[in-house]
Amino acid sequence: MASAPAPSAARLYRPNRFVSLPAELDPDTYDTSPEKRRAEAERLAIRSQLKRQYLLQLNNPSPPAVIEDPALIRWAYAKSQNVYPTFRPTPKTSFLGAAYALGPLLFWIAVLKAHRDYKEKRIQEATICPKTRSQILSFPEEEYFQ
Amino acid sequence: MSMDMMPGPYPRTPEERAAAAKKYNMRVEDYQPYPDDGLGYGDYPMLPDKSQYERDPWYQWDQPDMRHNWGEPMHWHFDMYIRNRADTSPTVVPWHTMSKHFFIFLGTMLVMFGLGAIYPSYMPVVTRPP
Repeated sequence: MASAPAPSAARLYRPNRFVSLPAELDPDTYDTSPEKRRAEAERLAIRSQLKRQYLLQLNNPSPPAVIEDPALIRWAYAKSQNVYPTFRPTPKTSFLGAAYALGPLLFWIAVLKAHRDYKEKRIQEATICPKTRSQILSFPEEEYFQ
Repeated sequence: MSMDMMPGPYPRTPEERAAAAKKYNMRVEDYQPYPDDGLGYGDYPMLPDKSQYERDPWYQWDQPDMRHNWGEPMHWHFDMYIRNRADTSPTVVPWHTMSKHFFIFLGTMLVMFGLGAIYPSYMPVVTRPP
C-alpha cells in the first residue's frame, strides 16, 4: 500500500509572520518561466527609471538642498494623515476600539476595587489595623514583618 | 509633491487600482492594497512582511543602511523592519520546533518550581530549646 508522498520541506518549515521561508526551500527560486522573467524585466524597468531620476538630482552641479524621496513622503503621510479620512466604523473597528480603550480602564477599576474591598474586610474584621498618621509617615514595620 | 501623488482612499474600480499602482511605482499585478475593513490603511500597498535584513547585502542600494531604493514603496511597518529592529530572516531551526522546545522546557521548570514551593522538602531539624 503506497503512503502519501512526504510533505515538502517548505511545508515542514511552516514559515509565519516572524520567519520567512529560506530561498532554498522556496519553489519560486527555481522558477525560470517566461512570465516570471517578464515580471522581473518590468520591475527592473520601473527601477531604472526611478534610479535615473534620483541620479539626475544627485549629480546635478547645483543639487537641491534635500533630495525628497516620494516614497518616504507617501509613507509618512499614509501613516499619519491618511488614517482618519480612510477610517470608518465597522463591527471590527468598534470592537477593537472598545477592547483597547475601555478594556484596561475597566480591568484596573475592577482590580483596585477588589483589592480595596479585601483590605476593608480585613480592617473590619480587625486582622489588620488601619494605619495611624504616624505609622503612615514612619516605616511600617508591622505590615512588613507580620 | 501634489496631492494626487499622496495616498488616498481604498481603490474600488480597476482604473483606480491601476492609477494607485502607478502612483506607488509598482506593477499593476504586484499592487495589492490592504483589505478594506476601515482600519485606516487606505490604498497603501500591502507588501510582504519581510525585514530589511532579508534584502541582498551586496546590491548597490541607493540608501545602503536602510537597504532601500529611491522611490521604492516602503512597507507600512518599515520602521519596525529596519536592521536595528525586528528581523524575519529564515532561522536554521523552524519556528514551531523552537517554540515547542522553549515552552516545554519553561512549562516543566515552572511546574517543578511550583510543586517545590507548595511541597517544600528539607532536612529534618530539631528546634532549639528556648
